[in-house]
Amino acid sequence: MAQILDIVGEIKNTLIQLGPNIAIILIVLSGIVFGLSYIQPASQRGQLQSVAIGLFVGGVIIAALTAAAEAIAGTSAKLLL
Amino acid sequence: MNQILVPGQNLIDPAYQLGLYLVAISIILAGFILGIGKALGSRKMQSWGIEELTQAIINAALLGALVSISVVLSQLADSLVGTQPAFENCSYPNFPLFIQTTLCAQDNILSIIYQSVSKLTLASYQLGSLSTLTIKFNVVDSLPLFSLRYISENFALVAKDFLSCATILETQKQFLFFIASSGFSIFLPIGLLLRMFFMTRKVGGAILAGAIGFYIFYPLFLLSLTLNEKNIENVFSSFSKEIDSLILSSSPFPQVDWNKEQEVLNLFFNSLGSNPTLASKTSSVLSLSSQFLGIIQLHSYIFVLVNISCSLIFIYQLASVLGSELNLQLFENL
Repeated sequence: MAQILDIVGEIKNTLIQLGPNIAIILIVLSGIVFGLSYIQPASQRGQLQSVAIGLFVGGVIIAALTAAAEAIAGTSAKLLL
Repeated sequence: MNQILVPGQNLIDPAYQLGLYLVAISIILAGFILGIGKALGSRKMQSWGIEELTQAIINAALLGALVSISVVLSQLADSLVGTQPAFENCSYPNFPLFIQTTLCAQDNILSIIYQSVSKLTLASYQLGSLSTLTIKFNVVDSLPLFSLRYISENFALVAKDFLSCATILETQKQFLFFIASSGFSIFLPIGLLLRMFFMTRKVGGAILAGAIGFYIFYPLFLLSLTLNEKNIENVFSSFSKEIDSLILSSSPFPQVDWNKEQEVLNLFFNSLGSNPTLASKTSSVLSLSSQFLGIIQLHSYIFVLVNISCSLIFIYQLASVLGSELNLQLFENL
């Protein structure tokens, strides 16, 4: 049981470390796409900007949920108590 | 994370920790799906991510409720059986008190069965030996106690029936050992893990329900059925008294001067024959053994079947709750 606990704990820690990396990648990508949107004609600019905003929001969501995952889990466990 | 501390019980705490880790992993993965879905502009992925996040929160709530309910039930079960095991010279220190008491109750019944088998076998042997006594006259041989052979066979068959009952009770005892040692340490985490993912939610719920049902409900229900053991002990006491008396009166092998006819006649027609002692004791033992066998079979066959049926019904109903998708419909309008 202790070994299973250690393995699952390591998986959790790996995912917690991975989350911010993915978030940063998405946020940086959003910045790049947003910057690229300004060199595009007006017809495509809006589309690229909405993609950039989507990437940014996605990165923020991933960062927030990764940071708050343990707190959410601990608080949710007490919901029905 | 807060740990649930259960005095003398180290099985639930690691399971709770593992469950919380799994919930956290589920929340992180749901966050990844939601974020990437938002980044790619995929509504399907976003709604899937939101649903998995909701299920992860519900899983965590269920985990907390399940573990605390299990702890409360375990403590309530312990309080029902008192602060100390009711049986002397019987202890299973690695198990919770209510499982210890159930196992000790089973051991008590098994001990009574084995003592009865031992006495019946001895009586069968002695009566069988007596049945072969032969008187040889000049031209005629007589076995005046030949009918004791059938009584001896009957005793052997009754002993065999007792052993069949003992086999069932021993099997049940081994099942209790298995559940007590692995119910919450192996099956509860497996159930929680499988419940996290939508593909295996129902299987996980069934395994969770099975772990709780067999760990808590099964031993408690069995204990409630075997609470009145005074009845068994009273009947065993009467049976034991009669069969001990029969064994005494049919042993040792009669010591007579076989050359004296009167002594031989006295032996067969007074001590063992028409004297009601041996015949009445034999019939008394047979009737008491039927009564005793009935009680033992009640515990071995009927109570076991009732216990298993009720436990399976409990598990089935609990599995239908735990294995279902609990949709709160909070984010329908997003």
